[in-house]
Amino acid sequence: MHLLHIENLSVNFKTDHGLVTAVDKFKFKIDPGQVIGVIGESGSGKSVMALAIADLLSPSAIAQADLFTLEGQDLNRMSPFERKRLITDNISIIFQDPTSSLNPALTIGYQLDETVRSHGGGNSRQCRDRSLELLASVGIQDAKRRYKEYPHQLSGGLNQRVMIAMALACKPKLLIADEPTTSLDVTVQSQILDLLMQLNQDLNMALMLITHDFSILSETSEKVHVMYSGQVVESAKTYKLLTEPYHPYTKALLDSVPHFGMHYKKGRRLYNLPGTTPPMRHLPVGCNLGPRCPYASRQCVEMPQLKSLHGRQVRCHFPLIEEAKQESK
Amino acid sequence: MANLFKANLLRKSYKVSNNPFKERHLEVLKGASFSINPGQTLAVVGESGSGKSTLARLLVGAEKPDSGQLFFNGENILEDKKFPWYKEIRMVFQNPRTSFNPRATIAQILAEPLLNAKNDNRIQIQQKIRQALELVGLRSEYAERYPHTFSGGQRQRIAIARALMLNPKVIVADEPVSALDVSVQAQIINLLLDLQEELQLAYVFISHDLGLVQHFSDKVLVMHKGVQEEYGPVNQVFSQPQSPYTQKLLAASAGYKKAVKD
Amino acid sequence: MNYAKVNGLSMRLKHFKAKPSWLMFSKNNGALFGSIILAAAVLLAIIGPWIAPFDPAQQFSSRSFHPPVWNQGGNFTHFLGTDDLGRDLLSRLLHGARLSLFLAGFIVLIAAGTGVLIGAIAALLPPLLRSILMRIMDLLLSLPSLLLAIAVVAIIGPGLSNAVYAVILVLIPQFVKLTQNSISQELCKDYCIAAKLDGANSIRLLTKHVGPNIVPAVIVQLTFSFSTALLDIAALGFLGLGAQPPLAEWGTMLAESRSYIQYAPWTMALPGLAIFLTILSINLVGDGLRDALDPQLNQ
Repeated sequence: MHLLHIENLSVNFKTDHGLVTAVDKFKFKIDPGQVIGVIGESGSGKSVMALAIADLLSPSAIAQADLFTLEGQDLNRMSPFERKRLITDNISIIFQDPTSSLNPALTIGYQLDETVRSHGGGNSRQCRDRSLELLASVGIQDAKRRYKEYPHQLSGGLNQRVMIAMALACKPKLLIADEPTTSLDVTVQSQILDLLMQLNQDLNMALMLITHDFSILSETSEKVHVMYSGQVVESAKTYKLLTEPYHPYTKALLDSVPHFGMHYKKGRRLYNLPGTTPPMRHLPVGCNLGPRCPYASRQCVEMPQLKSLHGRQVRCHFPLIEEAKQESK
Repeated sequence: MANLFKANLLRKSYKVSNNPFKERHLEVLKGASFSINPGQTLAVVGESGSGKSTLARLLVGAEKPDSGQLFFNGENILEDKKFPWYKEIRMVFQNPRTSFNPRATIAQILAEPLLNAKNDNRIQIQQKIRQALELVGLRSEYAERYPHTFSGGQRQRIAIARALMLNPKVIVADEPVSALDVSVQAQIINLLLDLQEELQLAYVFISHDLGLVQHFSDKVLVMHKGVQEEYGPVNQVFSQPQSPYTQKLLAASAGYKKAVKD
Repeated sequence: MNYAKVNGLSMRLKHFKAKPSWLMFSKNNGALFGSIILAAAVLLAIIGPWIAPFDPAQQFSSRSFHPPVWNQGGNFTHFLGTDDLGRDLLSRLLHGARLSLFLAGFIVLIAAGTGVLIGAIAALLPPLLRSILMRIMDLLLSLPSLLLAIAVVAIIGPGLSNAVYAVILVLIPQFVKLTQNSISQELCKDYCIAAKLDGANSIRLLTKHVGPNIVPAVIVQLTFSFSTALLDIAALGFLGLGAQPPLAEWGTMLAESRSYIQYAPWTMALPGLAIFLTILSINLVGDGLRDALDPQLNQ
């Protein structure tokens, strides 16, 4: 049984210009203890998708899914109140910027206690003990001193640890990490990832890693979903995706970043796609990548469907493999 | 022959307390030295708080260092009160959203350095704006629009055009692509490489992304808490790092590796 | 559709040519409504004395507290009724419009002009001198504005023109503080550093780059100050330090009729309504102007 199973999740926003689709038919399965990556640029809908799963969308958004089960329980059939409770008890989320996610006017301890209390932490003494325990579990030394400090007294890495401690307060079965290391320095980045991987193993907590950076996914996640303008364009096992991308966008994501340790000829130009991610209000006709794609042809004015190919899912008329091209002809 | 641009032991500290009886200073830059020639790129690498942005501000003349020398074509420009910084050494900012006056059109923004240089008449200015926009791969009709109508990548192109208006020799780019999406990042990096080849520009490229630095630059300067940890050709520094901090930074940048459990 | 021809940069861009500001302004219903009222008020202020049925100081002693036409006992002779001394309210309001509107407008413009100028100079001063200047402004702001105005009038003597000087003096510090604060905030922003690195000198930086960006804040303060000016003038008049009794002035009329509110509510309601509508229209126009001058809202 899957821990979380979502079929065709769509999120629409009510705006002055009518309904704008931010996430289009997103499919997602995750098992207990599994690590799955979601990769995409800004505006790809990856954060909205995460918020939709955590039931944190603003009221102007409408989220719908054909199937939405958590531990086998159908969330679509529940009242909003029940759904909210089930989700908050089982799914936690952490965000990119830890310093702005914490209230600067309250101590770390106070904010942790609040979270612990709302998850049935008992009296204030018990809450305090549980908070200290949580701080210790995310690798914060002298938790007692940190407990009394304010967010601005802590470094970005420590604040992110505090956010993770808060997320652990409900003993979640799934942790959604939305760009958890983007605002941190490289040396701190690996410490936070170490912590997340260790929690994943020790607590058998499933992890959904949302990022724009392949280098943090290669050794962490089993599967990767690549998102572009609200749609999944490719999903596959991580190493397969990294070694042989089928979708032109995945290839562009991989090749446009010079990887450290590879020796390039000086002055080599980077592979890139022209233009920028189209705004959700003005999507191109047909394939969303169409106008930017070097492989596009007449057929691309039709929206390609997500299809299975060698055990992966690709949304492209012309996947970047020879056999597939012959098959489609 | 003298180097095009050379810094010698630049130091900078900021006053951190307003109490006149208890003056406290925080030294953010403790002696940075380097030299570059036309067509070369120097990368300044470091984490947040390493003083790399302070160094950038010193290099373009936005602030004056407490001590040290800065040579441009062999001349100490810190002692020359009349040195036209804005004609020779230009800056590209990190955030393309905040670095333009929101109430000025692109034409007005690009005309600013030309107006201050007072060398051109109106028609020449118009023409130069058109040329600059085409040089960075934008259409010249864009001149009449306001900055907020452009995407981040396009704005960074405009920022580069602004830096190039007076044909400078040195461009200091403070994390020019870190606010951009990866696919757009590559466009800007390629543009910078094209321009360097065409105009023989010298770049001081400030970055925290070692992959980009390795790909992009000739020399590298590693900074840590205001101290210059290491300086040398990229290949040498990256293959045989001497300081422990550089080693740590390199290890962390080589992509995330799962911690080995005993 | 031939994709090869579609340049990534020209992809699906709406034509973003900025519309003229007045077009934007005229689309804003509130601003349009405000400017109609304001235009009407200014028009009445100009032609008021010619269309007023009576002399504003003329007292019809037999007809004091004559109700307006819609009340029982009202008639068209005194369309809006009369006050305690039997003076025709409509005539007084029309005459008062000229005095009140032009006084308040004059006060606000002079105060804003001087204040902005001092604020801009303050931004150019060395830190120590600037601190001293700003602390003096803080001192002036810390006193209640009316008290300060009374003190000034007490020194230079009562009378309408002296009251005007006093209110100008009281309003200046607000503009100085606002300008100096906004300028120092803007100067820290990237675009100002960029302009400095483009070789712009301090004067050019302030006038060409910072200036347009603090205009919205000044406009908002201007509309606030207009009402303050109107009410301060009125308060001084009430205390006998401003407009002297027979002179019709909205604020003074409002203040004088305070004691008759139960017996003859119109004597207070009508000047109040006039002040309210004027201030409302100025606020609406100010908001509209602020939005119209912002290119980011101007698509």
